[in-house]
Amino acid sequence: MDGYTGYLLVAYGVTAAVVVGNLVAARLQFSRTRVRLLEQLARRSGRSPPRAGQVTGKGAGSNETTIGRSS
Amino acid sequence: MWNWFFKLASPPHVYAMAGKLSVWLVVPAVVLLAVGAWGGLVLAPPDYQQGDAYRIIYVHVPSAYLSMMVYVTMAVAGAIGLIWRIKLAHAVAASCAPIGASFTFAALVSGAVWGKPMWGTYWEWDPRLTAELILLFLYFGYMGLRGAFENLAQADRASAMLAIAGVVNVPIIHFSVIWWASLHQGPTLSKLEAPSISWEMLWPLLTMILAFTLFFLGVLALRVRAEVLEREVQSRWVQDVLRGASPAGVN
Repeated sequence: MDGYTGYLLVAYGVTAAVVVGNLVAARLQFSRTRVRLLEQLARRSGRSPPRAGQVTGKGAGSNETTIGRSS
Repeated sequence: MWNWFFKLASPPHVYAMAGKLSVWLVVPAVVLLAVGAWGGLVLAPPDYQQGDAYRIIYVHVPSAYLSMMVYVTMAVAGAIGLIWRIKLAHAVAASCAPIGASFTFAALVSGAVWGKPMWGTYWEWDPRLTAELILLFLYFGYMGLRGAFENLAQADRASAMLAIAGVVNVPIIHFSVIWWASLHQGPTLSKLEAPSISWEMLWPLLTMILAFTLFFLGVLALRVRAEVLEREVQSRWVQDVLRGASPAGVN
């Protein structure tokens, strides 16, 4: 590699770290969000996480399937 | 046709679609990354002037292209969110920022290590380099601004305005090498009708650019899913999803 191996290693290494980091961070964000929201729902209902068919908490009962407009 | 269009703004539909898309985008992206890297590092011939150092182009150019493309995506999504008040557009914009910032960082670092053997310095306050650094600060500013608001709607509006204002930096980055005397080399890919790079060197670069684009879309889909859950937590369908049930409209 003409003595440029060190430069190539740094450039490819940093880029590979960014690629892998993005994938890991996105998956972690999803799983952490899921766990946090489950805990939040459980806290609101004042007991363990609700089971299927048992909807509790503020806004329960709304089934938002329309275009996601903010107020 | 319109039904399909309106479905794009429906959180449960987008949540389900993003889940499927992320796999179908990330897997081909990883395969193309391997093919492009192999082509760039092994199959492409050395440059007659730069020798093997030019091979940094195969990670530098896709990272730099992605840094700008992601910013434009973020600004357009922010504008759609502001104009039509579509929450999902803000979710897309918010999801773009960390991805764009990381690839801007990769572009700056790979550019710096390419600059050292070619220019004799890691950094120069050159128009292209400075504008790219400003892009990184714009991403940081966007994320910082979002984090500064307790109210999500206010964070969406303020950060969208910053993203739209900052988009002026993107053409400055792109045209800086034409507008001003620059240490940075001129455009290579935007003049494909008169290519300044041979096909043996070009195909791995195009492969890497395609791979980076697919990878961005795949990771964006993953991040949008988390954003949608967060924003729609009051909705029954999200509570069903969190409990592991599969409500209507969400697969």
